Amino acid sequence: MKKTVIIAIFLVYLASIVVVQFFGLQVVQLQGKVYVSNITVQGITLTNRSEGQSATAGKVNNDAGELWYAFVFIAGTYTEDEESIASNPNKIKVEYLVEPFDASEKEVAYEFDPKNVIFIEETEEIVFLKRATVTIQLSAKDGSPVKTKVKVSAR
Amino acid sequence: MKEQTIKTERSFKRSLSSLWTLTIMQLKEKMDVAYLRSFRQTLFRVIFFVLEFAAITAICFLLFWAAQMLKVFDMSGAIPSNVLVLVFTVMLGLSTVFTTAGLVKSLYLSRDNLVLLTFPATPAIVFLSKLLVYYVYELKKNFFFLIPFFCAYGIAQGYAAYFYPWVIVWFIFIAAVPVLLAALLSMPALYIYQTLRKVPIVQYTLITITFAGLILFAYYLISLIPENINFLETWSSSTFWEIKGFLESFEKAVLPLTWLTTLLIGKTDLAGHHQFTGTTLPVAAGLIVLIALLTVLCFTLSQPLFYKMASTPFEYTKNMKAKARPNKKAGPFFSAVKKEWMVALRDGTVTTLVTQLLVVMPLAIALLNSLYEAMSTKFIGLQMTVCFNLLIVLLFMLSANIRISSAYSKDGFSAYLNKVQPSTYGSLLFAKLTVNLVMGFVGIVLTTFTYGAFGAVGTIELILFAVTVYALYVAHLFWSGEMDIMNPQYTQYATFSEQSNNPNENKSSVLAFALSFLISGGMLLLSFEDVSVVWYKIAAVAIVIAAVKIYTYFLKIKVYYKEK
Repeated sequence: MKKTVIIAIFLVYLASIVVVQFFGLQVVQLQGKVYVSNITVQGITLTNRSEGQSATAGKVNNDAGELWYAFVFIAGTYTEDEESIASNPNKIKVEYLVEPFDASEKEVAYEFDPKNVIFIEETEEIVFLKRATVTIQLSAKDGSPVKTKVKVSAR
Repeated sequence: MKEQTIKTERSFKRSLSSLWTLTIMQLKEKMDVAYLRSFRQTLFRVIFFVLEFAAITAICFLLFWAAQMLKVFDMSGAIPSNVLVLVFTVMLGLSTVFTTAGLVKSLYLSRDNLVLLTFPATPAIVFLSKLLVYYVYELKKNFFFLIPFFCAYGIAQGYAAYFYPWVIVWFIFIAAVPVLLAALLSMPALYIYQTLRKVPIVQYTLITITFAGLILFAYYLISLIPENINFLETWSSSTFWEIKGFLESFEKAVLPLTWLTTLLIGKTDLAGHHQFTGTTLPVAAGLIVLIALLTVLCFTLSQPLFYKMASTPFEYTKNMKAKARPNKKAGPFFSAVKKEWMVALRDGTVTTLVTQLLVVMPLAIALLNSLYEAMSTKFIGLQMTVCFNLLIVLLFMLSANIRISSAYSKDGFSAYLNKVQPSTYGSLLFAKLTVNLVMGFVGIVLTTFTYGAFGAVGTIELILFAVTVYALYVAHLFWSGEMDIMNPQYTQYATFSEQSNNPNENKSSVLAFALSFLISGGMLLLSFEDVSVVWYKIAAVAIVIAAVKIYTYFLKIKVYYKEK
């Protein structure tokens, strides 16, 4: 077979998929979905500190230019029990901003290595059981490929 | 000293003159250049060429414009250079593969070698003339796709006027790369070809592995298909990014070709388009060095093999250890059929037909329908899927017949034997079509079962689908055979063993596409009226066309063979 014939058949094959996609599919009511275009981490809040203790983690300057926060770990014996979690003062929350403001699904997914930390889904809090450094990746749940990373150290 | 210089100069001039004569002679034989004798015809050809070039550029421009409007490759509506890198790489890759196959025949196995080596020219000149002929073909092909493609890109991007001559000038160099690469690859290709011919067990093992690989690959692709495919829904969230990611990684994978593309189109940044960048000079120099290096390698490696192959008469390459077998008496028709099947088995025609019609076609239909199954189609969409199935199967089937439009000519000087055999001309010539008739039948049966497994159409429609396709296949087969009988190219094949631009093959290709599009397009239009009878109408039309072509085929054999 000649090269042009092979290319032509291949192009027709591709067109047979694209044409059915554009003109042959059932009409779906498009809901004008607005996708997340950016996620910005604005800070880390310590949500279970007593009065007089700092309620925010400090930004760490580093050569790699990573977004890195650190806070002082209040020593103690902490477990995964509900009671222990409730009283654990090393509980943090990532403060983030999702853009655009009218995005249809503003929820984000958390990804990190769960060693020495626990994630509370309802409140989006992360509880440190020991001193550790965790890299948290926040990614949009609406299907757009937007994601951002933040490093948090409990020292 | 001066005398020596004059001698060298004369020898060089003589070599150049021989090279020019040999190249022109081969080009004249292989390409229709009779128009050069008349100014009017030459002018007409030039105008036609310019119009053809403009039409291809316009089509490519429309595609670029649509991609810009729909923001297919970039959210800003730009066309990233990696799109060009992809097309450029695919075209160069295909050119190298096809030129390698052509050069194996032309350089080492062509019958014209024996004649060319008797001319007052060194074997090196003959070798170079053959490469030049392929270079001219390659350049001609580039003028009909890649150059208009790049020009259309320039128009879409609004590049300056000097961009267009710049592209054309560089393609004069680029066209040499696949030819030189193919000349080098032709050596291992020749050894593989000869080994496969000599050791059938290796050939059959390789074919089995290839077929198994193709089936596994198709199975893998089908397993990748998601449950629901809707590009419009997933475009902004995943499809667009996947295409973008693929193009970016492809661009990195073929870095030398990315540099070559940058040499042609320059770079665009926030400040605008820059035709000449820091890489222009090194890449241009690199290309010229590469061409020089490949040329030297060709001469040192391929040319000795060429001389050895070209100067060995084919009689000595025959395997004389043929086993004696008792002669089985058969009628003239069955003897002719047996001969054609043996020839088809030996020259690879059966392997090609099995690959195309019995393996690739059913797999392509399985993959296509697996994709369609993952689409939630409306009524018109369903009709489209049926028509596209018909179109793809027709294209696969009818394109297998293109070889028949040169099948009789390929007999070369032995074609006259048909006129001296004690049998009717019709039965002898028809024997050549039996290989395609049988292979096509098995192919359509397998494909129909594959298509039926997806349950897209009922049993009666499925039978009518097979009847329609096979009837059109038979019609096109006889039509292609008729073309070769009416306008034979015996001398071409007798002298060169091949013809790169056979008018009958071109007509047969156009006819294959025209018939496929007309029938499947007609089927789509008719299905809007009454779906229940559309298959009967289409099948009836196909059967009538087949009957007419079978009749005219035998009629023309009678007329042609009696008159001559």
